[in-house]
Amino acid sequence: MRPLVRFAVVTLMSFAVLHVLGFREDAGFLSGTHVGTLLGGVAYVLSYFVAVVAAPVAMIAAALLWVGGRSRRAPVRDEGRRPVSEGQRGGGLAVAPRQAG
Amino acid sequence: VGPGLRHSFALVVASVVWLPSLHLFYERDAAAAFSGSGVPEVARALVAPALRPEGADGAMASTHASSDEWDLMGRTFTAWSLANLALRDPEHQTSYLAALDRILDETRRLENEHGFRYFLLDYGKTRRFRVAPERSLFVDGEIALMMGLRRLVAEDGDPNELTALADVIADRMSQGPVMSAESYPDECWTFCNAVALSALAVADVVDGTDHGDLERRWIEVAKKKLVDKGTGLLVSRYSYDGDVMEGPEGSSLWMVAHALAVVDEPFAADQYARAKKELARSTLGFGYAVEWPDSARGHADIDSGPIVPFFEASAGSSGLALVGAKTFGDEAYFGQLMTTLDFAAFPITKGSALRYAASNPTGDAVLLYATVLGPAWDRVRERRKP
Repeated sequence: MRPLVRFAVVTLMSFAVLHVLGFREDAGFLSGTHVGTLLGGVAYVLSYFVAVVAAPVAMIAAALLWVGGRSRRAPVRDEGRRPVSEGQRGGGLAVAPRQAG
Repeated sequence: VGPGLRHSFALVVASVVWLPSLHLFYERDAAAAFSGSGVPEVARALVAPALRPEGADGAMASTHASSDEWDLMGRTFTAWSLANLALRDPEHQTSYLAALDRILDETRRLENEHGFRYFLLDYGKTRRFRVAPERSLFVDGEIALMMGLRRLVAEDGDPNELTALADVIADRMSQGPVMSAESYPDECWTFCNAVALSALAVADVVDGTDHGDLERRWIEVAKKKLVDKGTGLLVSRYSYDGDVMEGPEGSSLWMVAHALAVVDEPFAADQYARAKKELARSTLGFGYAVEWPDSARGHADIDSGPIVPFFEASAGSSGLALVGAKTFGDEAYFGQLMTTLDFAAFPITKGSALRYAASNPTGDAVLLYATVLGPAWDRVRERRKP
């Protein structure tokens, strides 16, 4: 989950930096127009598409994994009415132990 | 289930949720931009630079460095738009016509000072044309349509200028073996001939002339000799004798269909329908157009613009597809194209003005035209009715 969030945050921040620096103006290369720097334009366009297409997918996937992780741990708290033990945290495959008796 | 598989499954589900929804964030009120009356907000913002006292000449002239053709086309598409805006918004007709006159005067000044080759690409600057005296239908046709639409809105100025230019165009087209005149040396473009025919149709309305016979003959010859057999689409480029040099291209066809709508509407509508089938694409709610039909692929050039890999989308074809969609009442495709414009053309708003960073002043002029065209063609059709 963390790598997905990290990817989304890094790509969104990269796009934000390029946007603030004004590289949007350099996107004219898409129509074959000579405006600004080609490198800046290409970097801006790529970061934009990654930010609006891939980053949200990564964030949604991370949210799904987080929800999935919580729901798998939920029975432990309900049945035992006690905090989840350290050993059960984060281990997606861990099976919640049943209470004896 | 292993964490790798879980991550993959989550990514697939996230993609299925996000990608089909993405277009919703870029959809604008396409109905307003599609409307046949009033001034759409997007048009008001796109035309703002042309209405400033200094006009948009500086921006158009700046495109000369990229393409001499774009310089002329930026001016003409803006002028044609201003004529349509004057018809849509009579209250502000004076300012639209003043801007149109500025563009027309400056364009003709440049042509008079530097010659018509000023607006041609390098290969048209030195080679000799087949027909003497040398002229380019690209330049003549576009300027004639500017002059004609100006007079269609309001009759003032010297009426003989359009009449004289229309006569030259008609004579040169009539002489050609395939009823076409050269745009470049020994090179005829369907785009330019269709625009010239529409200019003659406008001239008929404002001057009371009759170029109906030339129009009918051009359509007849085109159906026989200038149509790609596989697709039924008009080819884009051919020699003066009618030998095809380049097959159908989106960057020509959408505009050709638009221009022919006042010449032979059923034929124009058929060309639009075929172009839509062969060139229009839609992915996840985003509309775009490719430059060539699958059966007649060409190579990227200054008309197509860069081709987006995988999707094969062409900036030139997609921009002009808006013109075709608007002309033939294809609101759904028009809306999808506008959505793509906001998604992938990087709009920049400064004050009241809008431009697209991925475009250039010529591309923006085409987009402006796509949002306001209609009233001028309606007027031509109304007044040409027997």
